Amino acid sequence: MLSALLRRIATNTAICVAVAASALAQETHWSFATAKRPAIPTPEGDQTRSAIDAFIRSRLAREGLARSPTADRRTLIRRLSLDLTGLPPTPTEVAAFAADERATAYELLVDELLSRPQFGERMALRWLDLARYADTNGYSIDGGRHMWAWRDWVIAAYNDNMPFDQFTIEQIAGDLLPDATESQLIASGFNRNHMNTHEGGTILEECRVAYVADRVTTTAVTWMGLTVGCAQCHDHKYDPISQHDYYRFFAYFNTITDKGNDGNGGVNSVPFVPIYDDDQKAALLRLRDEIAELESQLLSPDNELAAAQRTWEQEQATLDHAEPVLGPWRVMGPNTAATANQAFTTDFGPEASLDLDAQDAAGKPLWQLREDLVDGTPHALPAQRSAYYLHRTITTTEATSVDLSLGSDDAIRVWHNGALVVDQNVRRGVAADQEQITLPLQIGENQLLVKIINDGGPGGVYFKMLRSGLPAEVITALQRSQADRSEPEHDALRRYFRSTVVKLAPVRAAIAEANIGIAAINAKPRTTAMVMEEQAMPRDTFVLVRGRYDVRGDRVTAGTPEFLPPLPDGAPQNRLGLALWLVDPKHPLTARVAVNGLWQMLFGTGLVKSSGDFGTQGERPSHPELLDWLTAEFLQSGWDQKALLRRMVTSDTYRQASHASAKLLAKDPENRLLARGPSFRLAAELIRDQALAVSGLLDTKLGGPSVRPYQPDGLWREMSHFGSTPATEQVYVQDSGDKLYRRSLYTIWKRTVPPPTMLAFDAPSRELCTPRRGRTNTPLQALVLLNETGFVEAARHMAQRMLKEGGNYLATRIDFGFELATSRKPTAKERDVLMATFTREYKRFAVDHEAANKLIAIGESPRDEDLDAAEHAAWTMVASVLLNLSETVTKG
Amino acid sequence: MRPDHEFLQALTRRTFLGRMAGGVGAAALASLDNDKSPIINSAGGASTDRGPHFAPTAKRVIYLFQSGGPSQIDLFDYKPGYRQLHGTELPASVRGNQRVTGMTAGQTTFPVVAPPFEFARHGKSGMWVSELMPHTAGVTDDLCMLKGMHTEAINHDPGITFINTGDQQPGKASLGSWLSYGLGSENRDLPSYVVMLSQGTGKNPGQPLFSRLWGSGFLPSNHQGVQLRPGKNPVLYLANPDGIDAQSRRNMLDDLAHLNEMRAETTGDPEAATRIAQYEMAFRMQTSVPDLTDLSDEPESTFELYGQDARIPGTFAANCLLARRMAERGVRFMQLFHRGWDQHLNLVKELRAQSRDTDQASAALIIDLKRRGLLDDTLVIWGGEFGRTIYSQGRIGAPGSGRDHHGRCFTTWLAGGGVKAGFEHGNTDEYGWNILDGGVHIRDLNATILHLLGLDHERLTFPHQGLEQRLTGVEPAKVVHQILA
Repeated sequence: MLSALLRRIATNTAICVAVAASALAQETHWSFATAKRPAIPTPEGDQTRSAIDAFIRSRLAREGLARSPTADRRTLIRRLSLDLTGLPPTPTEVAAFAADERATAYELLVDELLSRPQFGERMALRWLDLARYADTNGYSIDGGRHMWAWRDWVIAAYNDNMPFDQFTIEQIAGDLLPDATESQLIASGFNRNHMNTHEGGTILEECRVAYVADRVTTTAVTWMGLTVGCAQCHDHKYDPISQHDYYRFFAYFNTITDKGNDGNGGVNSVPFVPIYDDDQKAALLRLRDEIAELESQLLSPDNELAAAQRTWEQEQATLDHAEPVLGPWRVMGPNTAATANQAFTTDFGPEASLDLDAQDAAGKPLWQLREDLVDGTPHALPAQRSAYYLHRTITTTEATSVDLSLGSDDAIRVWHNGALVVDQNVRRGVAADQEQITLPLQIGENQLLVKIINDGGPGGVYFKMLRSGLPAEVITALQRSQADRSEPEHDALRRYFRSTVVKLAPVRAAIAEANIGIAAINAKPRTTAMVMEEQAMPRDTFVLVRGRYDVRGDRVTAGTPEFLPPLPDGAPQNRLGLALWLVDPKHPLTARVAVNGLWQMLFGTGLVKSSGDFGTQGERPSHPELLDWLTAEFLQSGWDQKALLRRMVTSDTYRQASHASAKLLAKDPENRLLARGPSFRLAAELIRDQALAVSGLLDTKLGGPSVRPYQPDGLWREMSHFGSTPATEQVYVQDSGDKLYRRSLYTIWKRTVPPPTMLAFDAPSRELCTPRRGRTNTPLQALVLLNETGFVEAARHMAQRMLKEGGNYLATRIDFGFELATSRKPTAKERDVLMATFTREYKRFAVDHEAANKLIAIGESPRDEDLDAAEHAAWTMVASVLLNLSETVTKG
Repeated sequence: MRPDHEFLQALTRRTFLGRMAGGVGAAALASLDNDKSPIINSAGGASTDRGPHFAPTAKRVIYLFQSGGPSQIDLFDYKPGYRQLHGTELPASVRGNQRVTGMTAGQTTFPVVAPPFEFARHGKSGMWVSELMPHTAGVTDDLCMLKGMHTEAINHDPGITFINTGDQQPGKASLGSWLSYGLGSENRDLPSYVVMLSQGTGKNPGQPLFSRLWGSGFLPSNHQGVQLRPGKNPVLYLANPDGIDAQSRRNMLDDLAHLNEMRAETTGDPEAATRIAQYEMAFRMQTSVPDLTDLSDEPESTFELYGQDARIPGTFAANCLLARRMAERGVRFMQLFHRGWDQHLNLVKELRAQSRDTDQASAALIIDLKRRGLLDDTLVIWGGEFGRTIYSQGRIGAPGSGRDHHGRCFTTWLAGGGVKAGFEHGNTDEYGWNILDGGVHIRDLNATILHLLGLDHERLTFPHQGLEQRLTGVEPAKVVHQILA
């Protein structure tokens, strides 16, 4: 089995043959065998705190290296806070921890940090990279989409410490779980985060195949650290089996109801689900209860009505049915308003009381007869922002009903005998069947009032009566004698009859109103989220020759690769089965890859450096036994991620000082052996979030739609299809207020133009699954930290805090600011440098008021006007130095 | 260079070198002087065989990328026989199994449309050039015209991603980032890969662009293209905030470097030294970039040559002029992305406008580089992601009609940098539909560009996802030796 895999990898391309060939010599590649719990070594003469330390130190002993001493408390709380919450500790927290003499002070701090809601936000960062999460579609015009409900699901799952197996199952196959909850449906959106297109002229199947291939690649890398993507297109003349393996895996993701070309106009591509907020959910429940209650009133026993029904039934047998008669249209308008919404809600007269003889001030009739408005074809209405009323009567000699088809440009409201029956505040062009309603008619004259609200441009209306007379089930019931009727037939008759009687009109109106309430909520869910949904008639999967969507080879069925364990007993042959297979404890990869990912987050590099590639082309683990031991522990804990993190951060290895001697640097530049604590530049989001936090600007609101902080003008527009509507996210419209200061994971992510402050610090484009970010050091990063509006504003607010909270002396203010940025006090020499900074800048600003005023005006947030401008500006310069310190952007 | 710039640059060197005499300073300087990897990357894979692999004929590239698919039929790939074929149906035998986009897949007829423009032969080689490109027609003796370019892509997104990154799907490294990775920079004050965008007046807005087109994909992100934009901040966040002048910034950076240095001596963190070096480069960019984009030292004759559009920041002409200024300063790869070449509709009107926007400046660039002795080692490329169909999209002759995408053949021209001048390579059939000889796949073009810069496209690799990735991908690609001078 293994050799089949290796053959497949070997034949992917000519250029990897040499590497794979050397791997063929091995018996079983290490990561393809199930992890076994190794014995914990006992390094000689070493009192280790934990198993992790035992593994690390026995390797260090072999290498002739000693561990580093434990870092000081201030370093530790900063390291822990950044790692577990993505935010630095406050000076108060630092002081408290530094003074905490309890033996378990460190462990208590760890638990407290793990319990904060910011933990979920911090953990989500890596998962969003893997899941290629973004707010736009990626291809072509890169229009808007809505997946923040999925992003919030991830944050909540981490905060709830959802076991990783459940976390896996819900994201791979939440939709296939029995009685899937809304939350599980949302979770299944993991594999809808891929890019999609609505570029005109594309070939649907070509695109759809690309989406499925992306799901395969992303799932394999995220859960198994396998780079199966190569097998999609390779030249299969050497080894046809390998392509079968790939397309059997492909088959799991190939039967979704999505289309190749979808997602236009800022509307999610199908399949997606509406998501209501708590108020909407409560209102829906209330309205449904209300309708149930009214329905029962409608059908409740009533002797008078029962008698009337009997009479009516007898009449039906003898009467010739007459068609209802539609009166001519009369129109009133245009009625202008400042906005279409205003026109929609304003009653220009006839809504409250219909008076067809009404006249204007000059005595001219308001209503005009319009016999030219022929039914069944769209008619133009004046091209101006206004409301137009149309009225006609529907007269019937008997209780009956009509089905009506309506269309409107744009919004429409319809009243039947004064009760609102259509209420759609939409923007659209007119067409048939945009609204279809059934109206039970009262005997005599029924009043139909239609209001069309045009939001500029051409307006239009469409009307047609589709059907009248008795519904089919009523006729069937009438044809039987009373004794022969079934219970449903009795119900149908009673329900129909009661829908026509005048006595119950108020109840019917109340039901109609409640239904309109439901429709209004349904039309405007808080958001929607793309989900997975299986086709009713699943499409077949074929091997695609050389990966070409249009060259089909053999038909294949879903299945997992042969070299890995089989599906667990009883697992269904679908995505749910695949998910169960991934989290089967016998699976050699899933738990190892998950453990390695968390290790990478804390230590900068995974035990397997190539965290996205555990295959033969990847790097071997630096500490294979430690990886396996942690994997065994992880499984035994029930996939408890917080427990695993806690185990890692409470190790001595994690707690070491990160200082590196020249000798140690030379011996182990990348710190793979861990003779010192982890130290590396912070991730993009953490750098910005830290600046917001220390300045006091950070808005800690959790979740919700993405936000638009400062961004240089025109960045989107110069690349986008800027003529499109706002929902397609072609032009950046900056937010104001609190939204400028949300954590960076909430910044809108446009794939073709990712946030520039994030991109500068190695954030990926989110076009594809990214298991590991680079960590470069560039002049563009310096420019961001020095000059970007948000960072300058943060420096300004940090300066304000130094002035107001840092005591009354230069030294105490410097110390306060320094501690905000680094969690430690400056040395005397460092303090001297910053004092000189302040003194020099103060002298400058004291004579150059204009410069001072300009600097402290940057950013939208107000400043404390009581502060002296020159002083504030000079401290802003000091704060900017502090935010730019190498130490500040580094986890030490 | 303006006197104040000179002063500031001298100031940089003096204070910086003075402070950084030993220890961390030396490391910073070493990292500054290592032009190939000015930036430390702790996550990238190790490179074993970066370039150059052999002596280059080009030191730098100016790529005038024409986004949208310029119509080769109406610009360069002309045959008098089109006039006779005008209005006749494109034979199915010629069309073959070509995939057609959804925009014309529903057409029942595919009538040939001869170019609605005049053509004439130009230069010693007698190249056909459309009346829409009079200036380009004047420099044909310097051009190497590739008429057999081809690609599999039929739509813009996959098409521009393919030609710029070697793959129709996102995720790969762009041509420019490969050059930066392989060759590094010749200039310590400017990025090695600079990108400039412009929008034509033909189709506005044109098809969108994506940062992946100049992204670094799996390569370390310091190799991604840096956008040079019109306005106060030609490079994002370049300008100091209001209230901070250059002297103040200099002082502040000195303090910052001092603090970083002190700390690094305690922690031994080697990144601190690199970071100091990057801040110094940022500071130098604050003068070198405005110096580059300030056109006040250009004589009137420059604008006569490039056209008056070159005075307007953000135009194609202005970007061409900036490219020449960067070439003089040793920037490795300058890529212009000009939008608006997607003439499905209104071809006559739009193509005229697109051509007018680009013709004079493109030709001026050749003339200017040549005069300055830079054309010999600067490769200039003009072309898009695919071509357009000989058949009409829409009713033939209607003012609103145009041409659909065509990947089977299109025309790209090269100049300088070691390619043959006044030379045509490749022929298409009488319908301008299929290639008869001299086919150049976009992979072959990329392999050839690398070759001219002294890079073997099979040796310039980077490990990612279990493969030794390369610009030309896994399919075979060949250097087009026939066009090498």
